Amino acid sequence: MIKVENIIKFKNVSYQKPSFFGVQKSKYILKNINLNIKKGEFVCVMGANGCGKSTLAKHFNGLLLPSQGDVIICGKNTKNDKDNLEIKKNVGMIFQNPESQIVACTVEEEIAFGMENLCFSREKMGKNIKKVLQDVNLAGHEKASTFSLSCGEKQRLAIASVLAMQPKILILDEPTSMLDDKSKGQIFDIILKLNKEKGITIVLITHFINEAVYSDRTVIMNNGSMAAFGDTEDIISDINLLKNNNLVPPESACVLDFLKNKGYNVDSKAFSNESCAEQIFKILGSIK
Amino acid sequence: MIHAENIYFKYYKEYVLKNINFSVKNGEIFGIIGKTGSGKSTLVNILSGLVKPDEGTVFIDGKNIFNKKESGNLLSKKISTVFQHPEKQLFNKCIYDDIAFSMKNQNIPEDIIKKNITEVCKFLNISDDILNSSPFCISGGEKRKCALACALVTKPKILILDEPTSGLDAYTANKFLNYIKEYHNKEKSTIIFTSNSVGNFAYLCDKILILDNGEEKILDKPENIFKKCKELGFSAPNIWQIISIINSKGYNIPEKTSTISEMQENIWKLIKEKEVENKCKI
Amino acid sequence: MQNLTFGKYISGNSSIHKIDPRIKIMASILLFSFIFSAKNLVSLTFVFFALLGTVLLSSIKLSRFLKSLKFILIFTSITSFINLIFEVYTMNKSIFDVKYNIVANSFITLLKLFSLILISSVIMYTTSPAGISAAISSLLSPFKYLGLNTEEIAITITISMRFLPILLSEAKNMILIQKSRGVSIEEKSIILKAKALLFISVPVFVLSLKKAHELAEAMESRCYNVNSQRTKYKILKLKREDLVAIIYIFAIILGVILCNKIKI
Repeated sequence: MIKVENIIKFKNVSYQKPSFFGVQKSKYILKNINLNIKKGEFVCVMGANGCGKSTLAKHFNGLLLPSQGDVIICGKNTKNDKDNLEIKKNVGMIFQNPESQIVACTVEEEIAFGMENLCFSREKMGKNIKKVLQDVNLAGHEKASTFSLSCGEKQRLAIASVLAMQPKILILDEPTSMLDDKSKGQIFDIILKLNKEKGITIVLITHFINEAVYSDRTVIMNNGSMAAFGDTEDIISDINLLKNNNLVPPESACVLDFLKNKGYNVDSKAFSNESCAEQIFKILGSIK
Repeated sequence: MIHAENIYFKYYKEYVLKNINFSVKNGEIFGIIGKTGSGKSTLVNILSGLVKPDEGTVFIDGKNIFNKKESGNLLSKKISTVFQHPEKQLFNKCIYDDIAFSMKNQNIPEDIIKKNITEVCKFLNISDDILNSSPFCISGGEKRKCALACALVTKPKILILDEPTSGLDAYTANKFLNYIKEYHNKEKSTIIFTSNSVGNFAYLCDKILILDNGEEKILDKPENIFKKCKELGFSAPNIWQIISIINSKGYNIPEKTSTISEMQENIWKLIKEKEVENKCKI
Repeated sequence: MQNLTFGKYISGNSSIHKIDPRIKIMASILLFSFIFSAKNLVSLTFVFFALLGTVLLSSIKLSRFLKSLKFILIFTSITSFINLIFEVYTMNKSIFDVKYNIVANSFITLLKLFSLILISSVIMYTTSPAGISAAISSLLSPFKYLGLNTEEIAITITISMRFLPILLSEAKNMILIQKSRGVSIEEKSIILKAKALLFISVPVFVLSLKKAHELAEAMESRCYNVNSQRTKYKILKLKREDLVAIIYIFAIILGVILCNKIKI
């Protein structure tokens, strides 16, 4: 059996905000987080507002360092200063608000920004710009002004600028929360493509259950602790687990769980609306 | 009754709103849905009386809100607006001061201010701890509730909310919408929502207006809007989608089903009916 | 406020657009100094018409420039009128003498201001923010040897160009939000106006700090380090057209010097 390495390891990570002037210690925002994420996996982190998801996200690339425990990315500890650049190169991060991530006034300069920081040559930058614009369906927009882009296009530009640095891991902190339905779908298709076709490890932080269903494994956070970590299908079909952690289960899962409790034999992991309806048709069809 | 008549609005020579006409009866819940950039926020500013349209106007109970002689001072029109990401408007020393802010500007006496704030905090479950904290020290969800308190404390007859659940997770969003529903039930005020997706709040609305590029695309009841969601580029609520797939095979689950428990009940009824039907056949 | 549009870039393909932004910035500094040193109406009229020619070459609609010029025309007319009243009533000069001097001086002031606005507008309308930032960074690069971090300055300028419009739009929103809470900058009383400005600027300031923090995190995540070496994607290179521009600018300066020697 081929052993797939763990590209991300969180060992007993806890985090509390640094106190000013050494006065009083503030409460722990993250408590005893243990994670092992394999290369090429798609992991989702879910939780209600204020559970520490964004703080957790910032630990993946060393923006924040744990107060206790260690974060090991591609074999390197985020606490080591000299590995800092290597880790940030390997871990690309996309934030929630596209407006606050864009530095430059034109698309090509925005994408070039990260590559300039890594001292890429101009030829390599030119090639990468064309390639990543293709990946995010913004081909031909090199000279466009960043002011004229829609919200969805800005977020795609943010993804492109991070992709240009050729990261192995992509962390997305609620990337679609400010977008409309169509843009949400577009961004999500890009994320899936990057994971399935390019093998980039994805950690998606979201509170949209319909995005979480596509992930391999899911982490549920509640008040800074990990309430659950397992296969996505198992987690999302566990209605009580979701409700206890202030998450709203998908409507389809609620219906299937209800029917299962009434004694019917349903596939409680048929999360999409169509497959849920199929399960109901099966029950109706089997009534003889 | 609110009546928007022939509204046109230009922004640097480009029309952001064109020929907007609609009416909202007293006590109705009205939804305005459109993608980002379709002109929703501009329309909110116009309906609140803050920005005058280039053409057309807004009448409230027959009075033109942009004509000072007819409708008097803005705040006396009893309109309260909750803007998008309303947390950014909180800046006073403590939340109490922020909630009291608009009443202080209207020179309302201190004891009435205190009474109103106590009432609204009881309604929204805002604890005394939060009332005394600085707005920069509380969580995002609480901040949004406090911003809602700022709007509800004046007991407005008309409440306008611009993307009230933007950025909130589903659980907090549902709680927030419940507060608005409860307020509506209690005070029978008129409520106007805007949103960039159809979502579950659409069930609350009596009528929905879809804006596309500043123009009115459709103005209709929610059930009729859900049918056209796909061609308009929106996702209809999941409950409606599941029910319409089941109904497409000839079954008859009521389309007004809007909550999970109603859906579970109706599907259970359907299964039991079929079982009874089959027993009769035998 | 909306008519002060002389800060916006309009993309285009004219010969003025194509000139190296470093040349445009150096030219504007030189021309500013020569305009201030212009002594008589002849040289100023010469400069004004030369600049008008540049405006026509930039293929940007004249109406855009006229909007900002209108403001200056009104301002100068008012100050000239006040000056006329002052000189007639306090200096007891004959109205005819005063009138001629006042008119001539007002005209000179008007032409100077018009020329300054035309230069700044042409530069702003025809140079992209990226171009301005690259030009300033390039022009400041000799100071690297004196310890000045020119990269940091370039990034600061780029970020300001990117975020100033955003902060302005947030400020516009905040004006409306606070208006809905009973605080308006349109109040007649100065105290209320000042209060309103405070209630608008504090939240906008907080918002800008928050955006700055978010941007810093995004930049750090993309390996930005103030003290590290960086390569550049866009490098400014002088072209043949730029040589033509340099000759044109020196021709204007020569014209001004010669016209200054003409005595009316």
